[in-house]
Amino acid sequence: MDETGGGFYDQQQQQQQREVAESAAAALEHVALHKEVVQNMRYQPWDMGRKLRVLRRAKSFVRQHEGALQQRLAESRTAKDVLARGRLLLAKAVQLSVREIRNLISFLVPWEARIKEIESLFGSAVASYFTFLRWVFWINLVLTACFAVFVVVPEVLATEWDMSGERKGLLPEEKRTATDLQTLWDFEGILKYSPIFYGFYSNAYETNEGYKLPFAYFFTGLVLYMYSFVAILRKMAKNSRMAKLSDKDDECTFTWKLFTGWDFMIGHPETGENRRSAITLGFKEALLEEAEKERATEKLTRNVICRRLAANFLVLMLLCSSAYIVVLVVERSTEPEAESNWWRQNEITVILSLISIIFPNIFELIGILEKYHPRRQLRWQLARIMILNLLNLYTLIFALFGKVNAMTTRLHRKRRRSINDESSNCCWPDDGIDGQQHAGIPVKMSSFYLKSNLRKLCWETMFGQELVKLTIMDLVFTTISILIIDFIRAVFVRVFNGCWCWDLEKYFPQYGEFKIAENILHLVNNQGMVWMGMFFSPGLPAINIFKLFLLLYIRSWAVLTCNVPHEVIFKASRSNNFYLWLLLIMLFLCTLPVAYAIVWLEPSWHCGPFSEYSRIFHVMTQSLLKATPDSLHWVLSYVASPGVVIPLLVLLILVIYYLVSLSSSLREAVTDLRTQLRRERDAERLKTRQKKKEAEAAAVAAPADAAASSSAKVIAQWRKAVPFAPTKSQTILPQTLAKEAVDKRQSK
Amino acid sequence: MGNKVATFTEQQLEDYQDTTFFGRKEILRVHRRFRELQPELVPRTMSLEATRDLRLPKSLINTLPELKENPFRDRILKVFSSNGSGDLSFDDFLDLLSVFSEHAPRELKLHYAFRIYDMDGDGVVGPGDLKAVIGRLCQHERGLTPAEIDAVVEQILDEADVDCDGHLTAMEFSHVVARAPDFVQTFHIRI
Repeated sequence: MDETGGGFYDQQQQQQQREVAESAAAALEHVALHKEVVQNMRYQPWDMGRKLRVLRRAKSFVRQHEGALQQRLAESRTAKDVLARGRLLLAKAVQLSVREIRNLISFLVPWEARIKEIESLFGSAVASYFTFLRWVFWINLVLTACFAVFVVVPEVLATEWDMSGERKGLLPEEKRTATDLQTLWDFEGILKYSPIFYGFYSNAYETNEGYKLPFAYFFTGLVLYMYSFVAILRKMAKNSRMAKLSDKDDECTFTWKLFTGWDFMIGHPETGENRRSAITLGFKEALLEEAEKERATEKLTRNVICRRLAANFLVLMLLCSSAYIVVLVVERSTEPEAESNWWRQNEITVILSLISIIFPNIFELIGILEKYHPRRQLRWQLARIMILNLLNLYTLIFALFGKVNAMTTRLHRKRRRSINDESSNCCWPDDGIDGQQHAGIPVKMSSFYLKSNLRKLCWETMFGQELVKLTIMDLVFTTISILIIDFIRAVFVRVFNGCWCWDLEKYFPQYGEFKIAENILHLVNNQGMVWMGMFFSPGLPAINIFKLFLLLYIRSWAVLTCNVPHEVIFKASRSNNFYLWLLLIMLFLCTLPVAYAIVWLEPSWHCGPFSEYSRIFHVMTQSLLKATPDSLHWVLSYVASPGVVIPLLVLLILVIYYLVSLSSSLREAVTDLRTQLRRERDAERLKTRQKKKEAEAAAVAAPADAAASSSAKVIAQWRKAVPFAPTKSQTILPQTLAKEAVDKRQSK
Repeated sequence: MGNKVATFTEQQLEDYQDTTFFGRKEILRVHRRFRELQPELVPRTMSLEATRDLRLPKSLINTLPELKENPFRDRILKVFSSNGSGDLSFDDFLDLLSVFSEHAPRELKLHYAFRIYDMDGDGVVGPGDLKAVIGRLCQHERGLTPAEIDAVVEQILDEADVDCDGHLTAMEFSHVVARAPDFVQTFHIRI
């Protein structure tokens, strides 16, 4: 009896528990649905009052039921309930912290007000330069932070300064001039022996704490290059997702011109007027185009052809001459008298900066000669500047590599001798710049000369120094050119306009315009230099942050004080990915020389973290070999052999080929569907008139059976009212809405 | 952080963050802009009633630099005004800026764009609406001739009016405009 009674009781209890659990699950589901309503509230196209009412109701429902649920869950002791309770609490905490983090991020975004001001004065195109600048700034911040955390700080804190040979600390003779402005300007003196440059880092395999610094240096550099690629690609993917699949711009020209022509950001009368005239002109052009679609695109007279040929020839000459100048200048810097005066020391950087400022202007003048449509002209101009920049960087790099080779051979000679002489217990013999021997110089007198001479031969530091100097010089020249071309010109025009024989504001000097394309290219070029120098100068991103920071303020000041809005307005977004493409190409081309240096060049034997290795990348391979057991070595060597790499490459090519053909077939499908749509529309056009007549006749005849379908209609209405909510929450929204409707009626 | 306690209750801020695409900082900035329009009328501390019922006249809101140059400003105010008069309460103002903000999805922007361009409010964008939009967008002197305007309207209907009933429904509108590469960028007001 007892047993059966107990059994019955148990059963009852079990059933009760099950019921509780089931109702708890149902309540949980209900609460989840209401939460979804809360989450999707912002996507509803309702006015704020209604949104707030529904939101509050849903929230109070959640609060009540969640509270009750939690209480109930708290009372029960089963693992499932405890888990559910934990999940509830966790979800709440996550939601809260996500919101707080989002608030923090939006709080930290800098220059929002400044960009907004520019945007309202000049439209979104000019502002896109500044948002691009800000994005590049973030990238550089990440680069700097990673270098600081993984390379610079461990090096400064953990390495032993006595053990690192000639790397750290100035020679006593150098100390006298180490902090002079002249020395600092050349990044010599204390700056040369600081963590900014490669030569400072020591080659100890491990610090006392067990941090493998050379490995960390190499790995951080590698990861940061990959990060740069991924960051650009992610941004591009995001942009192209925004623009959907619209490869043919001319598909809905008129509709798009009308409905997206006005930039809602414009808040300046002059920009507004420019935009209006641009839209009017755009419509007129489009109408003309529509009318004369069959006409040949452009009549090429002999005159125009000659002009264009001449223009391209001129540009080619200019490009060649710039390459020649760069080669010449680097050659001159290896001559013995290269250190003689300020001009000779800064020749390379000054000339490079001058070329990158003057030549684009000449290109623009040549562009006028060609008589292209302004849009086409801009494209040519951009392409030419890009080629100029790349050509300059590459000639510089090749010339520098030539210098590096010369330095390496001298270093080799030195090393051989130093080994010989150390064994014979003597000092290093002097090795003149031309390689002649000066035998018999006393030890003490020559030691400074020897050491400083040796220190100068750290080619990696030299490489970094060149690029750092280039970055700084570029900043100086940009600032000067902004001052002259924009500021002084604007002041001149404003002051002398009253007493001049022609209208200065309308004809010759005018006020400067903000050249978006050129300025973005300048940023791209600058970033390219940073990527190129980053590996041999971990401090370069930090310097670049400083530069970008200054540049943002200078440029925005110049734009707001002395520029006028563009007359021809180019839209920002369409060229968005174009600039990112440029950046990506730049990054790729800038990693090539660095990769070459890592794989082919021999690092200096007396400075930098890789001085023990015969090639820089050996730090990676040797660490890998050390870390893996011997039995795996053959696997590694097999994986790295052509036997695996070539099939892998082939596989990759096949995959790329497959994807390309897939995307092209998809594109074909899209065009097919488009033509089909058009055809159907034409067919529809014929039918509509008939249908209209029929419909008119039907409308007279049929009284609506509205009552019967009213419930279906209500549901359809709700569907319409909640177009963006996910389907799940649609089941619950009507309940809340119905309640709301009742409330409304009552209040009325 | 002292500011946030003074202007809104924590509850209000939470609700606003749930109903708009703004964070706390932006909501407070919107309030500041709203208050700057008429400091003597808009209180520093916004109660629930004040956010809903206290309306600023449209003539005042039109002076905002963000709207001053906009040819559709009266339409925007009308669409977002909860009582249809064009005068905005703080709630309406916040709603407006939220829809025009960067994070608002394309679909939501399209919905409101359609209502803004539907000048006569009959639920479709007809030839009359199109003509009015063109008139507002183009210059007054050196503008398009009536014949040209007619041609443009015809072209637009040809491109976008899928079922050929002579006007654009919301579906047709969003179908065409959603594919425009610039729509999201240009239908945007930064506050």
